[in-house]
Amino acid sequence: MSSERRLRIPATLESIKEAVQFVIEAAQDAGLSDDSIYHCELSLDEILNNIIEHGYALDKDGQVIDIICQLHDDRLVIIVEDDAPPFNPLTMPDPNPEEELEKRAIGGWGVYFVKQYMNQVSYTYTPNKRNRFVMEKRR
Amino acid sequence: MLNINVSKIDQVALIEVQGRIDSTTALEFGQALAATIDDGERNIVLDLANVDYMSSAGLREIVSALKKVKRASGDLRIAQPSTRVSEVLEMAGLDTILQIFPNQTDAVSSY
Repeated sequence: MSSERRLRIPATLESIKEAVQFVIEAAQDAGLSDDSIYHCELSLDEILNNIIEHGYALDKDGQVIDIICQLHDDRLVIIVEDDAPPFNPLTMPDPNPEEELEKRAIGGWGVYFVKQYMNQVSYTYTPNKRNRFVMEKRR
Repeated sequence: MLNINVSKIDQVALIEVQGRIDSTTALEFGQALAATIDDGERNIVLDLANVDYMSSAGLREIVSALKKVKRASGDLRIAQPSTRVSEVLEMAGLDTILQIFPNQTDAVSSY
């Protein structure tokens, strides 16, 4: 058994809250544990923030982001699609947790957290010219 | 929603935060940290007991503030982070860079 839910939000930081709530409800309905629900929440927050701040950085007006939740018996799949210029966040090198303070970049941890928290992540640039980021959390 | 309260205990500036530190609140959080340093405070304790959610946006502000206060020969120390905040700090390796204390009293008296 599986089912699918969709949400479209404007590409604004203020809209992240609605998307996070949408995914929390899907994760609850998929039977995920509280920790796993939190992992999905934080991961979605990170990905949406990246898309809004970097992907759509120069042209946010009227842009949207689609969030699709696929509920399966054993896992929740969260798909995030946007129309920003093609960019695969998984090609970014991981930051080094052992780096000393002065050498550290201030940011760069978001995608790293997503990779730590989710069981599987992937990226494709679709034929209809959308960035498609897929995250999977098993029960 | 984020509530930030800054107070002074002896020579220590205590910043108590309550709420979620995420993409929408991190800027306000960072501004409070920076303003405290700009006011001349060098011994800072950041109490995160009532923060149950912190994304990388919050982490970025902590690293930025820590660099700023260290350059001024000060320090920023963390008091009683929740389990989830601790996990984020550990994943980024900040638990070895920051001094983290189990309670506010220990953090304040460490200066």
